[in-house]
Amino acid sequence: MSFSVSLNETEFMVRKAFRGAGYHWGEAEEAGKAAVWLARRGLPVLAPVLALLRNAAAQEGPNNTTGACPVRTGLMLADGAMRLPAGESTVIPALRAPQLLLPFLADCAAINSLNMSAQWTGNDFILHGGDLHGEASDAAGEEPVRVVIAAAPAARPAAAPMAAGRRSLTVEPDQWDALGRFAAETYVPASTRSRLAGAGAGVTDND
Amino acid sequence: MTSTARETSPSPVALRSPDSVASLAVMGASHPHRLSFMRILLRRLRREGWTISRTVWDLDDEGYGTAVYTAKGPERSYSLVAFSHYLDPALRSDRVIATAWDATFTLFDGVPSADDLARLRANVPLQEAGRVSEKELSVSRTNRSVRVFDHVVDRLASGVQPDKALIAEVGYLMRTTAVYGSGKLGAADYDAIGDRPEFHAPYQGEMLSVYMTRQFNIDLVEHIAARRAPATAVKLDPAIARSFGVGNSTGLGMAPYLVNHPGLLNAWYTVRETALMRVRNLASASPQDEAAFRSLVARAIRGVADWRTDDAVQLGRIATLGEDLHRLAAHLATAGLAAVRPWDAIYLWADAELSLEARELVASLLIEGHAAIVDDLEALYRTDERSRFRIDASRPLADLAALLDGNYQWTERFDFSDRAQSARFWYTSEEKLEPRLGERFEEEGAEREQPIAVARDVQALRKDLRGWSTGEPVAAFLMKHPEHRHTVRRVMLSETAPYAEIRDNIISAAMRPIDILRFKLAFFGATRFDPRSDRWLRITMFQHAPLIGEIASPEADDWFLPPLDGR
Repeated sequence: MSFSVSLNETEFMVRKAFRGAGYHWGEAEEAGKAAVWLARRGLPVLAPVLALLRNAAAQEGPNNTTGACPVRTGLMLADGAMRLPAGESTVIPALRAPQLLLPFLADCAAINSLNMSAQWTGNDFILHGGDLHGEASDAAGEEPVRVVIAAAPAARPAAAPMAAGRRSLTVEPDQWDALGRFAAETYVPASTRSRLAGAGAGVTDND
Repeated sequence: MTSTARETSPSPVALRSPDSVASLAVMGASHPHRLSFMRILLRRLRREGWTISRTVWDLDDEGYGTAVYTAKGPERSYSLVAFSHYLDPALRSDRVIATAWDATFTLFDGVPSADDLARLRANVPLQEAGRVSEKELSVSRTNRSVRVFDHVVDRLASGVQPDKALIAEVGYLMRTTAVYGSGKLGAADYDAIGDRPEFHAPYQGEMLSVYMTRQFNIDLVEHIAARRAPATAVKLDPAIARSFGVGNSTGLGMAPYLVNHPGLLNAWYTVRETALMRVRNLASASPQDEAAFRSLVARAIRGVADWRTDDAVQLGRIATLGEDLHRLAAHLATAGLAAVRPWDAIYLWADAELSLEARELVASLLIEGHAAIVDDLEALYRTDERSRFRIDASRPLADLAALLDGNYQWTERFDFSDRAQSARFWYTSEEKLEPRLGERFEEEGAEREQPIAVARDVQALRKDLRGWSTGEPVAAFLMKHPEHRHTVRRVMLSETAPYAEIRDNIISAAMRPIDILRFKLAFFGATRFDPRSDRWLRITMFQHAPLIGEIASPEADDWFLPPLDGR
């Protein structure tokens, strides 16, 4: 029985889940924002996030993921550590959870006044300004895919941009729970001591 | 212009620097002011002609059941939906981990239908264990002040007013133990409503909810008294009703919040400091201005006399504050206001002569009387955290170094190899996700600490920057040191946000979380700070504020301090 979570909850839970899976806090924050970017546009969120984090967990940490990480790859592009000038393209042979790359390509496009495009099986996108244009397939694969990224001079694409107005995310309980289990790695188990002394409020609050 | 004329024109008073006001000590001496969020709310309600009425009152003889209050503005309405419950006194707890309360509430976006009420009745009393929807803007709960609540009901039932001294002791009938907003438990995100003018200033939904909760508390005691003794019961005298605020029990969670929202912290400081600067820069003051200020000082003296706490440290500070205000009154009586920049002269005198508590209260008093030149600063509360999130990593490391030198010198004075400096760690407990403060060297869990030890993290960043050529882009450094991304983002943000940081060590053994809590609560507009430990405190909200039927009155904005007479 699916239910609705707010975009704030989405951001915080994804951030904590990435940290819980071993990413640095600075990367986890970026992942949280990326998740909200996707959620506003009705693109898959939890499926790609969980596919990525499960792989990180299976490989004992995000440094060892099989297939490139879309958050780390995306940050390289948005930071400019990896440059793609207009007219050039690059192939990432095996990128996990490619949807998560899109928000970073959006930033890259805005920062560099470019159109960035990303294409993988059934999915063809152009990022222009802050907008996403293109076709998404619903298929949420667990496996990494071959992604072609290209840069072109900034120009408004013909197709209308995807609306970015969603205000909540509909989730399946088992997915939200799975995300929560990663996030729980950032919590400290309670102890009697921590319950009594860690937070404040007295033994009796009656006044 | 002759050189003489230039010499006699003093250079403008500047903003107080971040180093001078963003320490824990100064934060811990914060007082509410006219740009506090509660004040902004009530000014808007009056200015726009809002009315608040009680539309559902479905309570049994004991006062258990459902109530709804609707605030109607020019374009939209908001409703407080209240559920009052029987609570076993043994279960009454202010902790986040409590599971039952005397009353639970939600602020509904509009006017709830019968179906909405049924849905809310099934969820709101459960609080964190329930879910609400985008139609709800906040969720909260209150517990009774056992002493005051029962006393007031008993007195009203027997036809007399409650004991003013007891009310002065406590200050409220019920206290909130949490007010959740912005997306928590499924409620609407702030983003969804932030474009509405009534939500441009911070926490307006939460403040509206608490304001209507105050009325509910008043109506509730009158109701129970009337049912208990219909022949003899009376209502509260309005002056006494006004002396009730809503209590609040505030714990640690607010402290990480401020550190995690540097843009917001910067905005709050900018508003208050700019207001103070403008007043200090006024060239002169009229006799009426002087009389008004002396009246504020007299009311502040009364307010301090009402400020109760059992905390020894705070009691000492309150006593000194009272003495300092008398000294200020005497100074004004003998010296009067200076002819040139009189308000600045008062501030400088207070800074030299009075305690920190007094100086910060004087700052609030100075701002209070100058609505015309400061109230517009409310607009500066709106920040765009989103646009400053992206790090411009193409910039050279020289820029990062310059920002560290310009804005983070304060981090250099802590020696984190000293256990006392790194004694604590902030974390989220698995138990109901309650924020807690741990002892690093005595407890488990420090490896899961929250990334808010800014001073320590900046020191680590500086260390790893050594040896890097300043011409290299930040991107290259982040590729090699992804663990510093979080800190680099903060440092870059500080370029346009001078007040973004709490300029102190918040993991030291000596750190008091209540200093951070007090700063935030002062911005809410809270009064009567009552520390219960170093990490939680009680406050009162909306004490002396107009009742809902008085929103439109001319005095509706004049409740920062208690009245001089028994109004």
